[in-house]
Amino acid sequence: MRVPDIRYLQVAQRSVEDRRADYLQAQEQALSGLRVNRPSDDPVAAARAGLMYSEQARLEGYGEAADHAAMFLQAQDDVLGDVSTVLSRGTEVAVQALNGTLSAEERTALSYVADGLREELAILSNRSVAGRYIFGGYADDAPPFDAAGNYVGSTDAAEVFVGPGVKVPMGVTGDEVFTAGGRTGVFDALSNLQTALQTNDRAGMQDALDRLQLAGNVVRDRWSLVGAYSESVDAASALREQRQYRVEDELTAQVHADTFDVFGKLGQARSALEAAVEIASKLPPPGLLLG
Amino acid sequence: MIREMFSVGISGLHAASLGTTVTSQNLSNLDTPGYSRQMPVQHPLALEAGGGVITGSPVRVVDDMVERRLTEATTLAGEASARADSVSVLDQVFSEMEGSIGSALRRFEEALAGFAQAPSERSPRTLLLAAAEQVTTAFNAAGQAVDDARADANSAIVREVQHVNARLEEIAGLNVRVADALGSGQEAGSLLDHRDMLIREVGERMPVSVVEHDSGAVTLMLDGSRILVGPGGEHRELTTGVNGDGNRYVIARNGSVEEDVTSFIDSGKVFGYMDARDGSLADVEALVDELAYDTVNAYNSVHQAGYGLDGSTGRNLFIPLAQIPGAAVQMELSSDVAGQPDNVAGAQAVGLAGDNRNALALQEVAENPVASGLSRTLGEAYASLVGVAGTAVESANYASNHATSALEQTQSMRDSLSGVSSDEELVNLVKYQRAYQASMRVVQTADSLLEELLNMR
Repeated sequence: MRVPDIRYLQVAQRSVEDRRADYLQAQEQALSGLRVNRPSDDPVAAARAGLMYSEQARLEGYGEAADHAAMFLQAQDDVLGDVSTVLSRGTEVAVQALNGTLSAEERTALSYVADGLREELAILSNRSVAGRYIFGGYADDAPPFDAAGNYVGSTDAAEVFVGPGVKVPMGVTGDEVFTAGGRTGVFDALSNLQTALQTNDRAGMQDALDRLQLAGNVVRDRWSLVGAYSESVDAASALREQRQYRVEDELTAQVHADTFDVFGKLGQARSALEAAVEIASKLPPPGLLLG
Repeated sequence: MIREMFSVGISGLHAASLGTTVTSQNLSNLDTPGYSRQMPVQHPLALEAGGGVITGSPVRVVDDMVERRLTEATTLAGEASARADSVSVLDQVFSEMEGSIGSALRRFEEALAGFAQAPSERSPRTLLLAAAEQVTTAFNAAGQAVDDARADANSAIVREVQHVNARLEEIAGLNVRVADALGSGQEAGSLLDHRDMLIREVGERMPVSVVEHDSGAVTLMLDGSRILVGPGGEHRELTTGVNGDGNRYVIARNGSVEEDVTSFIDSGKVFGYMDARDGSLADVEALVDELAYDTVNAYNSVHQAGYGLDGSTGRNLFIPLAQIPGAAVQMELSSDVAGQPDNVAGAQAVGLAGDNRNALALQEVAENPVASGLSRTLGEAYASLVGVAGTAVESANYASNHATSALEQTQSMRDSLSGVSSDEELVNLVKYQRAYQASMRVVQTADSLLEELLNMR
């Protein structure tokens, strides 16, 4: 076969160009840590990765929502614990007042305690976190209880997505906790107790005791519900984390580069490029023209 | 007899001299692209007719079939490279990077999740509007990039047609010069090489076929059916027009008669640009527009049902789009909400700042099949779009590499026949040098014989 001189140059030039392209691709993969740096590198993997990135972001969003919900649920859990303590103390006061004979001064002293407990309860019922009233439901931008203890918040609790299609309430509403049970609620119970103590009204004290016990049951019931919501958040978080690992694994399989493989290719591409450049630098080959 | 010896020797000197000239010409064009090596033509003259060697005009060493294949391979490589060049922009537009549609949609989903957590706060609302603005920017940029790529293809068609036009004029001129040179018995190798190069340049851009005439002139035809250059120096002028879609088409003009010859251009660079423009780029543009349209409609319909902090309802998040074509470029945040975070409708009732039911509904849009004729989620539609774009670029690159390899192989075939080998030419140079020396000896011998004859007493 005749080999014209121009072919040496063309072949060498093409070879060096191809090797440089190979080296650039290996270098790009090594630097980015990705096997797929653009859709044309592997269209199927790029499309799949797009879905994975979307799901990854969505899962992170669920994670943030779960953390947010957990913060509010924890705040309610703390407050409901305190409310329960207040109600227990109120019950103790009522029992103490009903048992034995108390002097007028002792009843007055106990009525101050009942008043203090009511004030404490008023503070707890209007507790806010990050400027949002945790018992206000949808109306979380204003205190849910007015000075008279009337509930002015929303009867619906806000929910958030903590997983795909999984919504969890961010707590219970104030009306469920403080005014439930078909009676006027804990504020009236403590007010009535205070009044009964001041007037030495044993029937009133008994009624207040009944109400406080009923309210205590309601609070414990809601407290359990908040605990259940927290458990739902935890369970959803566990599932979400598992899914996040799987998504990460799939992303690794689809688009991430294997470090050893990439650096192996980089070394191989470098050697091939050096060889091509070395050969090209020796053009033209020995021949009669040089002799 | 001595007279014949002189004559024969001198003819040998002429032949050897021509041989060295042709060899020198070949060596001087060792690296000239498109050059076809030449060979001296010589025939023996019968002794009865005086003997010696007759030389003719050197001939180009070419194979018409190989030349035709090279033109065809050049056409295919031109088409493939033009297509790959045009669609390469899709790789940049749909790569996973900051500012891409995928990245913007994800950020928007995250912002919606944040908004649903705290609809009564101003900060998540502001972030949501910023993320929505990024979505519109990403769609605008992607739509514009694909639109620009199609406009670039149109510009390239105009440029390539102008290039072809200039070459057609040159080929027509060369037709006349070649016919004149050959008609007067002159050597026309360099003219033929130049014309072949120009024909290949035209062939790189559109499918052409060549009919050779005895005069040495050629007729150059477009796709074997429309004459572009005639043998007598005449040629048609090519130009471009703009159709109703704003796309370029090719016109052949003969005097005042114009003909749309676009349908005859089914390969070559011009076809490659047209095919990319009307094929992959148009397909991807339609998909981006459809995704933008679906995104706007899906979020608007949910947003309209909700209430803002100001108690307003029926408001759009994005400006409604009248039609799918051009949707990506036209996508814009609605003036109902732009710069007014309180107007973002997160509630399903008036007066409840913490009511996040509509925010949750907006968040759920990403999980529902609202795109591609209600068959895919927005994320799935975008992933499919990335796959379509990636496949278009990958296929175009593969075809381009394949066509380039095929062209190189044909070029190699052509070069192995018509290219110059320095070793071969140097051997020829020695051969003609020896032939010259031998003929010189014949002349010297004849001279000495004549001298002896003259000195005879």
